[in-house]
Amino acid sequence: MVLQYFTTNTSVELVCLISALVSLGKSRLCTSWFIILFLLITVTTEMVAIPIKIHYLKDTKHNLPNIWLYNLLLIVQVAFYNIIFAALLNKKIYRNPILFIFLPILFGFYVYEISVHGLFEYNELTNSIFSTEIVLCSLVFYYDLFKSDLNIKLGSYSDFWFVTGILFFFFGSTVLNLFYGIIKQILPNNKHFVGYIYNALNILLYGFWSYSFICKRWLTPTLTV
Amino acid sequence: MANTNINSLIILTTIIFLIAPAFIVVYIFIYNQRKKRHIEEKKMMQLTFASELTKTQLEVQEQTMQTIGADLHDNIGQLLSLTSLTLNSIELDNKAKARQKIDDSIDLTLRSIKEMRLLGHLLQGDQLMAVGLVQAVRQLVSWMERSGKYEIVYTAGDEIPANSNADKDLIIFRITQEVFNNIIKHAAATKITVDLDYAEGMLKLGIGDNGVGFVAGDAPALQHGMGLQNIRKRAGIIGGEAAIASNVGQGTQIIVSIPYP
Repeated sequence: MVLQYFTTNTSVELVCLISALVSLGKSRLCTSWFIILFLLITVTTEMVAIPIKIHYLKDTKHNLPNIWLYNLLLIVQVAFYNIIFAALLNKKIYRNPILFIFLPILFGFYVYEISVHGLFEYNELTNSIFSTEIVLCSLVFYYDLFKSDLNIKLGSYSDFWFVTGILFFFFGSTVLNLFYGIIKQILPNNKHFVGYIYNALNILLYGFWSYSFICKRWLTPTLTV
Repeated sequence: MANTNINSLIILTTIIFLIAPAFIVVYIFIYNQRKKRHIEEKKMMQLTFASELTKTQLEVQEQTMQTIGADLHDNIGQLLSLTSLTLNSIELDNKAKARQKIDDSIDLTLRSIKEMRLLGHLLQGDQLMAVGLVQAVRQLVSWMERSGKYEIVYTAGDEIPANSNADKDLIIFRITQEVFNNIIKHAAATKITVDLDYAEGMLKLGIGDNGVGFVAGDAPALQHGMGLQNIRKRAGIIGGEAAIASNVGQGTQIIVSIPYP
């Protein structure tokens, strides 16, 4: 019974959360605590979503009974990634053109999608725009790395691995984001298949993040995140 | 069947979309390695430049001290000895002769004072930053001329920037000093031309003589003193280059071009 809570996603997220607690638990940086809080919210959401899904499995009206939870999580994700990238790019949100432009757009689309189809349909468009923003931010981070005159050991540079995980996840999930609607229509009984890809992407994301936390704690203790 | 095809298509597209960030990451790693090498090389070059600058500073000081020592011994020392001898030989009974000898002594003392002043200027040449390159080279030329062995023509262009570069000045001065040393030791020249010119961000120092010259590859300066290789190396350190032309019996022409200031 308990084992049903430990899916691939929740397990990977849990490992990442433990890694964050061990590695960043003593950190005085706000961003470190944001990461721990975000992982905690993510793990909780995923775990709460499982019984909801089972409980409402007979719900025929809504295709995805727990999707409203992920729509709410999207707000947390947008806030978290924007704060993190503001810190990573060493700029305040209002001074960073990408964050400054994308935040109102995301807010607008989120409100629009909710008003059109309510909470029980996933906000695909908002999620796609959000992914684009995060990919752009990741590329700007790499560009700053290119420009930097600092002699950086990339192998143990925690910020680099943190962003690399983000880039892999959001770039890799672009196909699924873009064709989410079509996949849903063509393959209504093939959700597991899409799930496998998301599982693989989650393993990549949280794997890179866990390594990044280890780098942060033991190899590069003075960096941003 | 259709489902399988769509599944394969999605997997393939996702893999392609994962290859892109993987490629970026690999590229960043390679670029970072190159950047690290470049930073290390730059640091190394800065260290070499700093050590070369210190070495040059010491050489300039040493050369100045040698010149002063030789001048004191050969010139001022001789003048003062002669003054002493003249004063000693004065016979107070013979007033007319004594008057003559006292006048001679005054003349010798005045010449000594003049020599001391020139020596003082040479000492200032060591502190290039204070007097400027044009003036420092002029003092060097004056010192060479005093030997009476050389007919020197020194021209300095009016367009040489006032906001000079002290490090570059020091190295150019040292090159000039050593070229002069080579002329004294090996060239057996009687005429020397020194041109200091500035055009389009480049400072050109040209030193020519009518000495014995040499065949390329058999340069006496390679065995003695700074050597032509060192002139090229020092010019290279400050981003310049040195062109050396010589023929047996036709003198030597050295042109050092340096981005300036």
